[in-house]
Amino acid sequence: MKKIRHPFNRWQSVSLLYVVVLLAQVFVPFLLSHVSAGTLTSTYVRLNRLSAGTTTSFRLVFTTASAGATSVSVNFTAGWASASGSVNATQTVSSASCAADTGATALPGSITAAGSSNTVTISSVTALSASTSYCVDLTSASAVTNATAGQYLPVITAGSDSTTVAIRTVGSNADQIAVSASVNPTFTFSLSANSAALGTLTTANPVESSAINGTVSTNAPQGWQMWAADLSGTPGLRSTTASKTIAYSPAAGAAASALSTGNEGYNLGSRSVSGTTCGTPTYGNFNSGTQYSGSGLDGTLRSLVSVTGPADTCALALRVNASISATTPAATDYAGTITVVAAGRF
Amino acid sequence: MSGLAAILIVLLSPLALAAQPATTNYQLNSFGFGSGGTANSATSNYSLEGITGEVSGQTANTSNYSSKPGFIETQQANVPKVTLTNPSSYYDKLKFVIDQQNNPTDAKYALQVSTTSDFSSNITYVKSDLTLGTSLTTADYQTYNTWGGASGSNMVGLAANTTYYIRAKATQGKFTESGYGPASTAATVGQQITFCTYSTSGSCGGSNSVTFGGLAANTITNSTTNIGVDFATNANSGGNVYVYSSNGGLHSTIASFTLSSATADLAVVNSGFGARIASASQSSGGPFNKLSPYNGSGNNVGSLSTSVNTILNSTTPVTGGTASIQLQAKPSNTTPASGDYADTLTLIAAAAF
Repeated sequence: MKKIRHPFNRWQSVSLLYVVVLLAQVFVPFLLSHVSAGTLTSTYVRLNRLSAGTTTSFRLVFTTASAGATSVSVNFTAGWASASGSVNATQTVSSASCAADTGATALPGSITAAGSSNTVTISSVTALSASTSYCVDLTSASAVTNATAGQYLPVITAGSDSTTVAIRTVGSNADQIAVSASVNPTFTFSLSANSAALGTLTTANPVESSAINGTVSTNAPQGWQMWAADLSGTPGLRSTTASKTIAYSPAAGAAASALSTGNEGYNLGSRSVSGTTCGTPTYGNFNSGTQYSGSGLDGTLRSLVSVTGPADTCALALRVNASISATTPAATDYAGTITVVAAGRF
Repeated sequence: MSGLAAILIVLLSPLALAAQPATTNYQLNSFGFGSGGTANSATSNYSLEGITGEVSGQTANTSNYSSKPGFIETQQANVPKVTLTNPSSYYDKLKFVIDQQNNPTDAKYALQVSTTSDFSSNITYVKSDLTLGTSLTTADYQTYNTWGGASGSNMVGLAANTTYYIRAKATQGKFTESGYGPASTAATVGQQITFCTYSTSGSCGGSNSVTFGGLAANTITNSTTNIGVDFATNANSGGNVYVYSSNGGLHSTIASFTLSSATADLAVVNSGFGARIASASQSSGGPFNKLSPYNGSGNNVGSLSTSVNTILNSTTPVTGGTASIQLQAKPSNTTPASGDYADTLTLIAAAAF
């Protein structure tokens, strides 16, 4: 029996190897991880100034299609450069605040950025997820210099994904509105009442009227002041019928003191200022926290209070006090007039 | 026995007969005579029918018509038409509407797309997900209704500034696929955004200053003119208009004082400065929306701060968006008097593609 040889074994082996090599060349690329290019969506570049020729920072927001991008670029394109736009080689980048503003995910990683030609490239990005919105700020005030007024089409690339957006620049400072206004000097003053009823005076005790508030509002930067005077011919509480004047006690210009029972006297007293804004007061002789206490008036305007700074409904409470003795003539027409004025210091 | 089966079974002379053979319910519209043939011979992937000796499939053409001889062609679905349009400045999609040409409702259609008018290159097909793909599969044959019916559908993922051509063919089961019908063409446009801000005493490109005149203490005053904004974009996700202030309020250098801006009802607070959108509208798309806190009424104003705030937006493409923004100010009794109160407001816009 003749042994049958297979004279083509070696050739078959070579052919088989050849086929395997060919198939490997065809299929290996598909066996490796295959990334197909996708389109970024919901993508925008927000220049923080639109004025032509102005330098500005900008924000980038985009939504990925694919996963895995570790760098992001914004190519402002040759059209930007040919229209006097430029990209700064030195860039600063942050994703610290954009997420709260946009609801997107802050671009992750120890990100850095640099500009070259017309493109800003953000590097060291932690691999991005698919179908995720990200944001990042190029924070340098000179990240880009805006091109002349018009529309431009930057290309945004994140890994294998990309898209084209449109941005617009406007004429010089045409992205700004100048607002102007003036505030006029103002001063208001009022008395809460124009009469103080003392009732029937007796020797049992002095009498104090209800408080009358002198209220001031003013934007005078140096503050305001309030004065009082008795401009009648005979200062004091006078009865025409009895031909009697109860004189001021103490005399005008004296420090505040209180009336005493059984002794004639008449004075004007004040308390502390109070209100929305009152500044720092300096009181005249009329200020006292004691009942029936005050000072006298004459024909000279005497300071009730001087306040530094503007006032907003700042009030000074004023009270008229009177007391009689056993010999004070009886009459029903005792009366007096006190004049109160105020002014702002502008 | 279905009408189609009757046609397939009968093998008659290719010579036309004076009247079509018919029964009560069926009529043979086309038949041929030959020495033999096959009806629906099949392998796992292919089916075949034909009459030996009969020429089939070779076209004769004029400029507007082509014809194919043979009884097989007579069982083909009616050649459909399709219309391609760009109804709204699309940059990445175009709308197609199929004209069924009286095909029955169960007919299915395939759509071929090219960027060359003669379909000589760049051939793609509208896939069932409305994207374009280089291969046509059975899943991409869909009924008229599935392709959007009378409303049509948008084929998506297109390149901007590109002219596309589309044509359709129909089928209603085996051996019925028609040829492609006439092509229709439309073009995508480029991505677009327009934006302008101005004082409403003028118009886009005009005055950019707004004054209050004299402000009275404890009194709310409106700016003598409003701020106008014009915005439009074909971006699929619309866009935003933003505002921010240089000073965070009306600032007087002479008085060294700022009438600060804050979101507030000026009728209630002691003093303030802010903005409210008096009106917002659009020609189409949008809507162009007022956003909180700038959408208040009366004396409710939104803050004008040094941070960028979104004041208006549209979430879809918008045409002819326009808005009027009113400024209001109220100094207190103690706001220092001065003639140099001022602020600079910056308004910017961005569109999301």
